[in-house]
Amino acid sequence: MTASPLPAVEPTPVAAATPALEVDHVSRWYGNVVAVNDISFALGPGVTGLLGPNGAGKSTLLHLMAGLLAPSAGRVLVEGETAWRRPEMYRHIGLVPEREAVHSYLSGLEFARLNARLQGVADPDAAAARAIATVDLTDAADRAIGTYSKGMRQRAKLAGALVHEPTVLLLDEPFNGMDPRQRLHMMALLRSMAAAGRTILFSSHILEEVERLADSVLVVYAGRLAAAGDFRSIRRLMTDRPHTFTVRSSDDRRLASALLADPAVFGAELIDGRVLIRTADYDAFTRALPQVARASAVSLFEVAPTDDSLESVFSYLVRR
Amino acid sequence: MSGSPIRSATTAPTSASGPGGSIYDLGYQSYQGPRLGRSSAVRALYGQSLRACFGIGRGGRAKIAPFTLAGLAVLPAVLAVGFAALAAQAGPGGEVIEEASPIRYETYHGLVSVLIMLFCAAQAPELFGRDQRYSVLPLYFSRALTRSDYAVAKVGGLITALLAVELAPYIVLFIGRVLVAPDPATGLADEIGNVPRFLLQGALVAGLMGGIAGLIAAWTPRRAYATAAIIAVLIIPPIIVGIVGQLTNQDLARAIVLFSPADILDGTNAAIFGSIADSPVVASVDLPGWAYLAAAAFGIVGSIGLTVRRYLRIAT
Amino acid sequence: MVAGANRDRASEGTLHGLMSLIALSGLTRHYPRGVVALDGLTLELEPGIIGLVGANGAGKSTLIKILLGLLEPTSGDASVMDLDVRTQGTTIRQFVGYMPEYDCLPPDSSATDFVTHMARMSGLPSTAARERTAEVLRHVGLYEERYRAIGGYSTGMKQRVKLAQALVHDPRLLLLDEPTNGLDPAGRDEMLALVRRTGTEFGIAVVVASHLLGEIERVCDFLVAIDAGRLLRAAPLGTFTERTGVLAIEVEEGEVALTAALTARGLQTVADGRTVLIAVADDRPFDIVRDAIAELGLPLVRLEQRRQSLEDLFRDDVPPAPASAAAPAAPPATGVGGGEAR
Repeated sequence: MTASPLPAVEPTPVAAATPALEVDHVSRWYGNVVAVNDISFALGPGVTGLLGPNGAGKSTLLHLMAGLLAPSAGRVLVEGETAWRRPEMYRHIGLVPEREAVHSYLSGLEFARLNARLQGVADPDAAAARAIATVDLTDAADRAIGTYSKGMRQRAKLAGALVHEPTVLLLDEPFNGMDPRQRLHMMALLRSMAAAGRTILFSSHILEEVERLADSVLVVYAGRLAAAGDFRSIRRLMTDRPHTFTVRSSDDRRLASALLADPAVFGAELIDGRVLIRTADYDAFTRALPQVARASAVSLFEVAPTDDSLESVFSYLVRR
Repeated sequence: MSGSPIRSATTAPTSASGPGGSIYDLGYQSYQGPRLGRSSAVRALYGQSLRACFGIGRGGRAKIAPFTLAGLAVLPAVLAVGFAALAAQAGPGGEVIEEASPIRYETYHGLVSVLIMLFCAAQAPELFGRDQRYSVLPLYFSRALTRSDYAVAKVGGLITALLAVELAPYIVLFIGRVLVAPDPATGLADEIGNVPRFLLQGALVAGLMGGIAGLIAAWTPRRAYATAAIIAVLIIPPIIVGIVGQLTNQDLARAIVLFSPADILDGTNAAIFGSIADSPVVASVDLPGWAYLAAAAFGIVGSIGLTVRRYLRIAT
Repeated sequence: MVAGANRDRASEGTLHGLMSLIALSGLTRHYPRGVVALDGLTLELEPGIIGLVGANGAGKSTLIKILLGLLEPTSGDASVMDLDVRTQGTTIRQFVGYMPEYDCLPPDSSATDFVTHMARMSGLPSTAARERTAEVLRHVGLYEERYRAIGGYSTGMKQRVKLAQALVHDPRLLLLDEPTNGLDPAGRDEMLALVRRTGTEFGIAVVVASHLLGEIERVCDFLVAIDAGRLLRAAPLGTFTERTGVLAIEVEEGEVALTAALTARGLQTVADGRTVLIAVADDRPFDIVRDAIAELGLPLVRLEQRRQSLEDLFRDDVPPAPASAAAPAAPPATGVGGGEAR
């Protein structure tokens, strides 16, 4: 796994460069409704996924970060400086919103050029062409966006957000409605941009996508930040929750009873042709398993932590 | 233990059953009952459309407009009957007054045609526009009914509702007059001749106004636009015809009068009851009665046909 | 009016095994502006839980609409339960339930009223319509909220209403277009479980159109993949996710030592980040691996034979870095082939 691009909220020991985007104790309320409640994090190069149930405040957070909304409290810092009401700061950020309709009579190239001119880019035509090329839309660039497929429309929106070469790219549900091939292309594109040094944050409901694409995650729930970082590390931190493993072996029953003798194990269940083991001590169990198996002369064919998926981590976090 | 106080006699499917008790299966059951096919579906949609025209099944607020308009339409008839009753008691002098009453079969159309039009304009857009606006049509078309079934059931519901609103006053007038007459039997004989007349006029009004309102509403899912368009189609042509009739010669007016639905119905009313039309143009243009009747019939069939065609071709 | 022949017990009761569920022959559909949604599609499907995936374009929605009779094919034939879609559409629709992808519910109706009405539109008598509605709403998980107007429902509740109206007339075949659209992870889980239940417990054949391969892997037994209107693959799901000849070992620490130990014991070993990969052709390596780890006292986190994924079907290039091609035991390059099964 690549190093997490998401420094913990405490300062890192090595003197870090100014984070591309930082959210500092930001809250946003509408009357008595608190959409975002005291959230702080910093983003650096790489891909970060933003997750949360419906209504958790993800879209609000993205709009705050893009400078489209003012925080009710706290600050949004771009390259170390406050972003609100300073248009030159917005040059660093590109937002690809979920819902906004693109004028379907414009061609892809025209749309990109429009964005370039709105951003005050020096050479709008060249910038537009470059952005279109980056998203691999050059062949269809002269057709009206209304004729595009869903995936192409998303790419057009992305091109529009890239014309001014922002260092930070924010995407709201970018894979919505895309078919598998389009999604693979988009993922490869985002990964390559991240590898080139851009900071990318995307929100999604589809955990398997986030798991594949994101180096780390931000989990938002009820307007608060529930967790941040690499989700496997987050799982390790959830110490109040026992780990479960499934094991497929040559003799499940024998293995199960041998494992129950080990103090690290407090539950073993024979289910579905496998042994399901519950343990409170991750480290002790993972070391004990091969040794117990060898001692009992049982072959191990498959070992998997059942709740090591992002899905499992996520459901735990939002059920507290 | 044989003496359990509970004995269940249902025929519900059981999961498990023994001498002491039973567990009933609440899982998904497949449906083995009758499937009645298209005709039942069409009848159900027709009934629902008819009820929807009066706001039944849609909450209190939806009932205000239709019932108010229907009430206002019947009101003159009720007043006329009351008046006639008083006049009958007043004796011969009352008869004179009664003859002068403006509320008669032949004049009723002129009194309430605007109300009928408002009823259409209020109810047709909801009836046709809602399913389009919320994209419910594919759910209908993926069921037992065909597209034309859907259109016909909806239009049928609207026309039936209009028929009810249109005929109620005539019927009130008829019954009232019969009862108020000095001798009900002769009263009946006197009035009975009017029955086929008002039935025909009522049917033409309901059919033509309903057909046109339905067609417009089927093409215009946006409610406000549909309402405005329906009112425009019914109000503006007579004005144009009137202007043309005043400013130019009669031939031009005669040519265009049959394109104005309101004037057509005015003409049919005059033709059926043998009275003078309300609109001065219609009165002076002097077209034979059957021309209006034919135009009305053509309009009814045409508008319903076009509505069906709209639904046959609408994209899902 | 339902023709008697179509209601006889033979075709209703014997769902599995005696008839083809869906049969397509050269099915083609063009749209204006030169878009070809379906291009000569030919296949035959048996009852089960079938996933429908499209790469590039509108193929899957178009196919569903043609099966329902909502769209005319440009050419070719299609039949559902041995009934032709062009001539016997009305009969087909009595036994098919459809859950569209988009919003299709009137906001001012309650779930009960709407679903009951839809049941009547499918030909159920009014008492049966009411009773079935009540039952089906319970099965999809709508309780007191069913009496409130749909406009106030959450996305999850609306999706349930859509499913309920598709089930209320007890269809033999259910066509679901993106059933988890707009749902958050918890909602998606519940909907997928419901779909799975429908196919297995309720005994209804299901076609799920989705662009999310993970969902299809979870719920379906069979997959139909369409690409640019043509059939890419139609096969049981198991054939797409066969094991490759690569065993992946993940230890919390000590990968280097492990790699060395395994190589020393004669196994072909490759390291990929924190994962150690070895080639397996039979059962022997497993014990060697176990013993090496035990001797080194390393924490074993994961031991898994790599499988092909559905996604490989849609990759049109060499798969990016991670290792399905890295192991020397020559698993297939792209697409699907026989991985070495254990």
